[in-house]
Amino acid sequence: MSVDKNMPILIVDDYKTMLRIIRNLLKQLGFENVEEATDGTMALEKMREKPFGLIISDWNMEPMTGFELLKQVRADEKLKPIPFIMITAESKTENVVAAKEAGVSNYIVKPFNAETLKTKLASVIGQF
Amino acid sequence: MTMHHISSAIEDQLVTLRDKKGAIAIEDVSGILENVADMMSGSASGLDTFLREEIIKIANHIETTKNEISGLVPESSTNRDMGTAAMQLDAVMKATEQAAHTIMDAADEIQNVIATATMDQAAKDKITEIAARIYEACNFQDLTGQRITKVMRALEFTESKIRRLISLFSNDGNVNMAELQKAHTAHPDAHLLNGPQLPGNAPSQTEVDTLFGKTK
Repeated sequence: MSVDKNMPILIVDDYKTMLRIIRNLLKQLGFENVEEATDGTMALEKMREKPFGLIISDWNMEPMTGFELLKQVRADEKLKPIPFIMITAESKTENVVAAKEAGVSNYIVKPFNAETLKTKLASVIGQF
Repeated sequence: MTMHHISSAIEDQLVTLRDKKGAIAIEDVSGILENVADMMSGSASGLDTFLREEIIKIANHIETTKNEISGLVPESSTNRDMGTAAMQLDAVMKATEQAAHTIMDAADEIQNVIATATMDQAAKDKITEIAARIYEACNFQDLTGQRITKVMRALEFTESKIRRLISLFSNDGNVNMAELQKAHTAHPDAHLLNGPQLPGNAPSQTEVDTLFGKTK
């Protein structure tokens, strides 16, 4: 099944620079239907207003971290099937394990490049 | 009376006792401690004076550090006269964020020019790839921002505690211990909020992928 490049993607990060970088890299990969949130709380509000095909989130944010967002998404019957990629500077073993056990679809450590994003995206939503 | 004076006093009394009696019994040690406590008591408590002096040294060191950090803020910034070290670092973060966006604006301009330029497609692709690398390189701002945020939080915590300690020392040198024992509520997942690892400690994406694959 081919990937719908018009699928709405939600990117979540409290750094505007990172939101811009991810948006630009997604655009280069052909994904332009992108919305932004600056923390988990805002992300959840957006997810409850409209459907998203993918969530890409940072970990370290206030008031709600990306990890907390992940747990809330996976605990919500309606939101739980959405693929969720964590892009974060948190690279300790316990972080990766905790995120995987909480149901993250894939895990990218910062700094990252376009090729890594493409590979992880493809592993989660299918080859494109 | 400083801790050095207290230690010297205890040592002197132990040496005197050993020279006099040849051996030191437990009862002798408690007698020495009572003598030292008497030396410390009075209108200027030795321990409180020591604590006050050390806290003032820490406060002076923070002030020096703040002045050094102010040198990192661009001359044009209106934030040079901010009160706390945390605010100074916040100004540094904003300056790096602005620089990152300026760099990305330039990369966007390159891509826009290339899109409409009449040139060899291979050259267009190459320049587009280079513009993409410029974007990737701007990851730096996120990582420096996170490191600075960690330092800012530590400084804010330290500065607030120091100010509180200084204000709590009343004129007679007594410390209000009950006031000092403020509960500190930690984020529930605080143990997972470590931020970027130092170079040499940070695992590669490949190592993370291996761990991710092994975790059920």
